[in-house]
Amino acid sequence: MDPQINKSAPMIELRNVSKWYDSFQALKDVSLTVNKGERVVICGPSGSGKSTAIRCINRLEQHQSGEILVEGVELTADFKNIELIRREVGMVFQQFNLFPHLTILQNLTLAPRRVRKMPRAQAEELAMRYLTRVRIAEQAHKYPAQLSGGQQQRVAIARALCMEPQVMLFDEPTSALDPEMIKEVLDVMVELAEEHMTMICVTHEMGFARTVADRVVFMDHGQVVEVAPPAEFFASPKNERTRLFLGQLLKH
Amino acid sequence: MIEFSLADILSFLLLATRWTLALSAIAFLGGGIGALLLLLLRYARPRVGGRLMHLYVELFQGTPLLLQLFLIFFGLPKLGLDVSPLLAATIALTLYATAFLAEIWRGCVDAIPRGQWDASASLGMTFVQQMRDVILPQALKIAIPPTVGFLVQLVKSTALASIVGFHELTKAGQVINNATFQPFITYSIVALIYFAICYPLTHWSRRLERRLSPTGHR
Repeated sequence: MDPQINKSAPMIELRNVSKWYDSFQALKDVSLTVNKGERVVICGPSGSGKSTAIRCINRLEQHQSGEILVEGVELTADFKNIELIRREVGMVFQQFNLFPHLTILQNLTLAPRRVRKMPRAQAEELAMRYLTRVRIAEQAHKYPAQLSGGQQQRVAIARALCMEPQVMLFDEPTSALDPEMIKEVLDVMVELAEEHMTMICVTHEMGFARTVADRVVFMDHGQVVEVAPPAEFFASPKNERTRLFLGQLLKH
Repeated sequence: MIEFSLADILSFLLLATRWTLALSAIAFLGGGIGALLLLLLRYARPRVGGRLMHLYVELFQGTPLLLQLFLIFFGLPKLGLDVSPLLAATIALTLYATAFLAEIWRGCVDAIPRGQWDASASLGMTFVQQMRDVILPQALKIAIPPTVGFLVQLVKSTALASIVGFHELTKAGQVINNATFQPFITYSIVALIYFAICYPLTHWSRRLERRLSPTGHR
């Protein structure tokens, strides 16, 4: 039986989530609530557990203690439960992870056809709509390797959107891109934010955080150190480690 | 004494070649199915199949094929199961092919970047969907050259079946030699026939490799 999705619950809730890789503790009692329509940016030094945290939300990584709830449904080891939650949670990766053996259009239609059992024509129509939104419709019949990094990442965003998720996770979406391509990807993400998509975004793009985030989360050594609205976060960070991190970022 | 013409020898050997080809085909097909099952077991959640597959592969790769054949041909009758030379050779070669193909294909699946699993999982695809639509089509491309390489190995390994009395190409060569006492000519022809089977295979694998390498492959 499918667990009942609770429409009034927060979109995502992490309660004291901890995770270990052998003896190394990657997440220490991480708690975070993200409401519907909220845009949250997670930043922090590398190895701070920020990617691990969002990868736990759709169970690409398994947490060992604490609870993760997506729309009030607790994430358990049960396959049905995991697959149900993954349909509601879209994800965009640092390395794009497009399927290299499929065309752009096929990349977008695969999951809707297989997972949502959508007829082919309908899936293709949906795919073209999202490709148009990310301004890349003319590339539909090419293969991923024929596209630039920025184009590939926009396709990856469109692919996740084709499942019509309730929330989008971004795992350093611009970190693997050449500088001149970062803007085209951020523009698409800003548009998405303006449409009130619930977003959790791990990124070092502080300009993006300033303009679209409702809250900025700073993580260090597997812990949530500080959570604040961007104006407050950048102007008067409370924690010493946050100040140090922002100082290093702004030096460049 | 009866004289054998070259044509007689050749036709006798070619008739026996059918059995070499048939045995190779059965073992390859059976081994392919077996290997695919082992592979699914290996990657399915929960991951209990890994150890089992490992043990199987180690066992069959770590012992001579000839010994496996002896165990089946001479061993099974002791357990009250009567096996013909054909059946024994088929079972032994299939089990052997299963082990090698499973190991070759495991390497190919492992070569697919983790991001492909992550991306397909994040889209809500089930394990079988991930395998069928994302992982195996990509693994197939890199699997072709080593798989055909193994097929060549398998064709040559069928010669061992002659030892338990199965009438394939090598056995036919022995029979001819016993009648003609011309080992050099006879075994040269036998060798040439094996070569004529194996060479096109390697050649074909190279062509496939080139054709399947897609524009979209990284």
